[in-house]
Amino acid sequence: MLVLDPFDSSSTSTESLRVNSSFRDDAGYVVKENGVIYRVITDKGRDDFEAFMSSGLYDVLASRGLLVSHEEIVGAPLHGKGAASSARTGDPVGAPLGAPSPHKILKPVQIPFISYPYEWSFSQFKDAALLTLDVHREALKKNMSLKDASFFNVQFIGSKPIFIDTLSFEKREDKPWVAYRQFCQHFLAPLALMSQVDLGLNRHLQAHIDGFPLPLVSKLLPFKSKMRAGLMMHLVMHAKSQQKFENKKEIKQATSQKMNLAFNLTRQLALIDSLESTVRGLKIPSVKTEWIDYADSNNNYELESKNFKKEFIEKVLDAGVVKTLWDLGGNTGFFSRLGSNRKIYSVCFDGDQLCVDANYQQAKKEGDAFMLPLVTDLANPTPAIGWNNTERMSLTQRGRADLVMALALIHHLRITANVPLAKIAEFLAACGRKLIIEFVPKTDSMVARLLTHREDVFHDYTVQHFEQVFGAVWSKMHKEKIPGSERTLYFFES
Amino acid sequence: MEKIPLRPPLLKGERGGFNKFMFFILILSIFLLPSTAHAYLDPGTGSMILQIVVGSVLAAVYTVKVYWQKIKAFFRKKDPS
Repeated sequence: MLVLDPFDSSSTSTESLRVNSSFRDDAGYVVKENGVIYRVITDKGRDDFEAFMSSGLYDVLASRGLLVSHEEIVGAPLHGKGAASSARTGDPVGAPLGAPSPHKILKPVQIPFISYPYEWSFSQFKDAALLTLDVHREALKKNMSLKDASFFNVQFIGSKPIFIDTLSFEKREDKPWVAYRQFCQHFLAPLALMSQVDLGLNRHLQAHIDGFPLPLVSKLLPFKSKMRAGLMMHLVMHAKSQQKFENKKEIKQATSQKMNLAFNLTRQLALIDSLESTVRGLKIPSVKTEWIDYADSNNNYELESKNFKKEFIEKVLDAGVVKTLWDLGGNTGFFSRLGSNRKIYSVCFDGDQLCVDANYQQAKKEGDAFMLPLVTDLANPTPAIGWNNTERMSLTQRGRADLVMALALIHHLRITANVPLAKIAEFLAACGRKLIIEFVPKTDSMVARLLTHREDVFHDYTVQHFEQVFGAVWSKMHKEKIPGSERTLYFFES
Repeated sequence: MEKIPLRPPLLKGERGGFNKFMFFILILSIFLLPSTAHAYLDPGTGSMILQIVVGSVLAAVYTVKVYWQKIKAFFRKKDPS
């Protein structure tokens, strides 16, 4: 499985780096060495991990494709001087400060492109939630329990969600689910807001990295949504219960005393069942967004020019050097599929939730393992967030792709978002090594529409200036006029 | 949208039977909470209490549901088609 290495330069590739998002759990941590992700299990994590393996849970989850499978690194030398190799030899150098000593190293199946919940469409989010509950249910059957229901523990390999944290399991006890609050904040709350208030609200998870606070969700949900039994119980009452008890000293003292209540297996299964039917009951609202009918509507994508573009792209892809593709503003993924059908890992970005959702649904139906549709606003791409701004990567940190496509996009960046051509070129170069881009001149009907109600201050927006600016970034340029239109298609490489 | 009141508004000073009952259950459940605290993930006191409060109801619903499915499966098997 290929890996998009955010630390792309060869100078760092011989050393291992502890992944910045991996420092909370003292049962283990994740390192990256020579572009490969390893999971180090510490002595603290030993018992739960061994129970996880010997219970048969790993076999069930891996064989059902719910969890990344892994191989144990035994004896094989890791070449770097970093954390993975030092962990293997028991040398604490490279391990997180104060981390318990290492027990085992795992090499999991690699995730081709890391995505985040604030980039998922509604159906992706829902499938990630159902996967998490499914994983927990399987765990309970094996007398284990999921202790960490974070949305960051779910990734997509193409159109398939998969759980990535092998260390999220502990032995089951007769007590309430430790990750219940987390599941509600990370999954149920965003899904409820997306379904009941606005589809784009998961984007605000960039500001709420630990999921939406339940009292906030309670305030935002309309009355009739709160009256749904599942949402009432798991969000509204949950928020009330939190507010009532969270900050009362005497209750905290009371709970810290020795007490026991059997929250038995039936109750644990019943809780999952209730959460699952609540999640399943949330549907994508029937709204029309600006772009959803774009591919079929009356615009300059007449059949002839569409086929022309397709052939142009196919020529580039068939040259064989492209292994990863980013399609920026890819709508429902028509052109990205030229990549995924050739087993090129294709990430198709669009700002429109419904387009991305439609793309995901199709990819899922086709079992496409090479197509990952994601929502992002290219005028304000996903930032790096979290502790020290390094926990979760920005969009460009997850590059560069071998090829970037920007079809019928540039006029939106130049005119709608008002970004100068030089800055657009700089951004696209940060995204990928090669570029296919369509230039849409002012004489085009779509651009004319964008300019209808605004003053034309975009004097640099000419084909000559475009070639000059982009030609300065990439050394080789190949262009063809798109028949039946004013547009030109370019292929840039260095 | 206009909110429909679920019950007549409470008079000043009146607690309401339902509220009293829920409060009693919640307070009672505090003393029944398990002791182990997770250092890695804070489960939240309110979240634990809520699970205990709704746990038995959910379990009852779940049990009925499972048996109902078993009954349905039983009759489906007998169906010659």
